[in-house]
Amino acid sequence: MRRRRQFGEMENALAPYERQLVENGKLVAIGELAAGVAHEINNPLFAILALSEFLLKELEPGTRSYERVELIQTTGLEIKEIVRGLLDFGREGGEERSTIALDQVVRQTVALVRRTNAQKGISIVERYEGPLFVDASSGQVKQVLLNLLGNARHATPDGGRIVVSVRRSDTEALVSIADSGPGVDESVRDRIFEPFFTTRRGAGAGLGLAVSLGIAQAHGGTIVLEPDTRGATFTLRLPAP
Amino acid sequence: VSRVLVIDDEAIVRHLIAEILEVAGYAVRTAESAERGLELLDDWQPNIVVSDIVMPGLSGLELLEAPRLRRDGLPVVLVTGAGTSGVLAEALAQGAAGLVTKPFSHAQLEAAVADALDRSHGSA
Repeated sequence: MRRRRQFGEMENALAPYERQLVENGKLVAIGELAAGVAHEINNPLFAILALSEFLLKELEPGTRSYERVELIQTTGLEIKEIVRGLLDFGREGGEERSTIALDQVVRQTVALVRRTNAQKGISIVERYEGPLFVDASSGQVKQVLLNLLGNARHATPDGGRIVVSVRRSDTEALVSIADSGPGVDESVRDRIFEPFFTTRRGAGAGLGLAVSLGIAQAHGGTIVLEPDTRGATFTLRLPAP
Repeated sequence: VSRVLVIDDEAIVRHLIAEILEVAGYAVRTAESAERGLELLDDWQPNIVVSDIVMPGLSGLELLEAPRLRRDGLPVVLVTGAGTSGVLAEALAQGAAGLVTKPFSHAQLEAAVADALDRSHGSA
């Protein structure tokens, strides 16, 4: 009887690790698939973009034809960014790491987002405790922050606000992004980090959070959806010795 | 006029790379495989090779190892559809003169070829 109880306790203790292993396995498999798909798309995409460039050199600027080809080029460049996202997803460790000032990277990323969402009337409030250094790839951290801020921006209604706070907790650097949207429904909380899971049909591939979590984990950190908050609050946690 | 040998198994990619470089003023010949490209080296004696990495048969990275290329120090610019830092590091470690990732602009390809030619002239 006691053995059975002990076994049950062990099983409960191991369950989260088992879930993580399954999740990591899925991430690796889908990462490989995504890299393969990205590779296949790049050949025809190169043809579309290279031909558009030839046409833009040959056509008269200002004509309907020129504008239409410009639109083909712009759309092709958007596909290029999506494919780049897929390749990033397929990557394991990725870019070079160095000691970076996390607070500075957050400031730069928020400045970038501010320039793109001015029209929507959302305010972004920033809170910094002071300089905070981590060993990380600044490009990948920016990618994570852009994903989290992008999600926050989509969730936040006109006139709402997003609060970005950077602070230290023991041996971790924490970047929290809190939106004033409706929050994450209880029924999907467990699934939001799954690849290709999305609540915004037609607005993305559903890879943003999965990619971001993969990057955070490759840095020895994680991303959590904080419980019991008004709106949604995601926190990027990175080791900060 | 510098002679460029373009190797890519995808016909449309091969023809477009050739056209971009012809418009930029190079003389261009094309090959659909690395094996066919190696045959053209003696016949045509190009100054530089632009080659895809992933191809049936000999890959672009294996092409870098070809004795004929090594002997003449012929610069090779590789093009790839998977522009990861791992591919870049491997290509450069094996002696590629440049690497451009698809989809690239006309200017990016022209700059990669011109840089590789400049460096090969400088070291000749």
